[in-house]
Amino acid sequence: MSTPAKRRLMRDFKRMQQDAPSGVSASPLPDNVMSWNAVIIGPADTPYEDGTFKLVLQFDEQYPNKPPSVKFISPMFHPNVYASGELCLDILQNRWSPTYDVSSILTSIQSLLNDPNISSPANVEAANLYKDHRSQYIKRVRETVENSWIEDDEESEDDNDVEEVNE
Amino acid sequence: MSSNPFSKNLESVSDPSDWNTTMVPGLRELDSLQRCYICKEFLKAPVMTSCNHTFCSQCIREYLLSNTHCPLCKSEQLESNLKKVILLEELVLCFKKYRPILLELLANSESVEAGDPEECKEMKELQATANDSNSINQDIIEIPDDDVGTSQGQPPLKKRLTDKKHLVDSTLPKNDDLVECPICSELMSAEKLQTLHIDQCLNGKSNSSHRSDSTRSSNMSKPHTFRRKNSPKKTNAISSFFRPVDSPVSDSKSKSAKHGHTPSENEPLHSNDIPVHHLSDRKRLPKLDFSSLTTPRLKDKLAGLSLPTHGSRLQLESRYNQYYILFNSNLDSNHPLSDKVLRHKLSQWEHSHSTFTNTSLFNTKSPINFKSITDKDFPVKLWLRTYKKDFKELVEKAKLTNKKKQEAPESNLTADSNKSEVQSASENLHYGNHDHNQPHSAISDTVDNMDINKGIENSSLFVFDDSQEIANEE
Repeated sequence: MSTPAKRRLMRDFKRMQQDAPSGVSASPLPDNVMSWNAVIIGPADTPYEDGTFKLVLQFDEQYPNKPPSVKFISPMFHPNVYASGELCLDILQNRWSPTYDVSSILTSIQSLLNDPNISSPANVEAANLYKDHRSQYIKRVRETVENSWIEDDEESEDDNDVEEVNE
Repeated sequence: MSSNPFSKNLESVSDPSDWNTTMVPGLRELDSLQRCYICKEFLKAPVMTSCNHTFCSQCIREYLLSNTHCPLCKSEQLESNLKKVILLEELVLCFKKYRPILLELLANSESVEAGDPEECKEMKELQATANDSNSINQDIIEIPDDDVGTSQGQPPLKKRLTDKKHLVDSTLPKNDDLVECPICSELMSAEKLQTLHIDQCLNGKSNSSHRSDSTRSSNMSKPHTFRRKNSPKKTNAISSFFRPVDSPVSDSKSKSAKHGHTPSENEPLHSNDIPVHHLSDRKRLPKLDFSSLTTPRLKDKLAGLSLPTHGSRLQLESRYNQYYILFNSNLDSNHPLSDKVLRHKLSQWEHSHSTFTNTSLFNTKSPINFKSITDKDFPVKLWLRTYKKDFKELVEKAKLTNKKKQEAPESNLTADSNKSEVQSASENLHYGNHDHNQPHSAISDTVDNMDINKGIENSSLFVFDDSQEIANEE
């Protein structure tokens, strides 16, 4: 059934299809418009460059009055990302505004990558390395980036398994 | 992303980007400005906050139920300060009405999928050349019909374009290529209005003088047929919005003489165009303080509004609040709905709202069972494998746009001599950039502006074509 939240999400989807911001993409699950998969490419000229980071977004009927839950499902090393992949990002919590859409959420996360807020770290180790040992931080991030590629490759190898799950 | 079943439904979703492939891509701006920042749909019963931001009445009232600031500028807001914007509602309705026709008429010969902006650019250049040689038909030839199918129910492209003149003649009400003089309300071509008529009219020349002028255009040979008579509906009237709100000259002989139906000065704006349901006697519903209200009394309140009184306390409260929003925002519309329709909307809302239904967020068909992605046991691996194909497509798509961005800048920046600040500023506003905004992509602005500039070029050519046609007819 069409609800305001679903209509809005279809609108967000259209915008992602027609006017996607650079380096991000997202689409709803084939059977549920309230749940989305998304990919953010690490921005150029940052340690995250060329990483392919996967996320899931989950909306409820209160959207856009309430923000969606968002989490990385690619391993992530970032001061504002918890081990679980969940993010600590003000606009997804107390600074949320119903004027945001999927596109603006993803570009915000994209820009967060190279602009961490270390005053309230979700990953203390990442925050400390970022502050005091930048080169080590960069090294860890590059490892994460390379892992994000391996993930892609692995997935394309075990096709058979996946088909079973899909059926 | 053709594989996603939701893509098929996107045709029915209107979006400012629909104009990108027309001859006037800049109209996306006009389109986008008339949309609510919250629901992104065309404004419905628009209201203005005390900080001068405009939203659908229902959207902002719903938001202010649990918040106390403007969603855009975060300044403090009270629901009671919202003011309806009558003219804007009519403007939006009018635009919505003519939007499909305009899209059809301005349809470009290119119908490029969103994913191929490069091809799109090439096509635009082609288009520009074609327009330079002043031949609208020429730009059709290269494009196979198969490429069309971007909007439902459209005839094949070639047909559409060859029929273009026909469309102008038949689909549009005849008056609509004319504009109305803001002073005397006479209809005429925009060119004539600007170059000759308006000065004469301001100088108080009599009707007869501009009538004789008007015969210069073949369209105007029988001026009286173009005069707006009693027009009970607002239908054939893009131009009616050129009419002054409260014209200082409205007393002048010319106006009162010409109008079969002259609004008296006290009548509300456009009273002759808008069906006015007199709801002024109707009071807004009060916000209830549920903490001081017993359940029986709450039920009484609901019953008093002919609303259902079954359900839990939470459901009763949600029901009242939702009806409160529906009812009060309905009063902000120039075309309010009956209470019966509102109650129907309320019941639809209840059917879909989680407070009233126990359906899980997730479809049972989903191969993965979980309550929320924030669950500790959210099966990341299984998820990645299940949606492997989707992610693969997403990665490719994201890489594509990423690459484009890196390659694009130099050439575009040089082409961008006429950068319109207003355009990019309002684009920013609309698409909800925010405190956390990344430096807004200069490149995408550039591309937009290129489109806009091109749009202006094209549209002026288009106008030129029109005037030539008129000249030929004479």
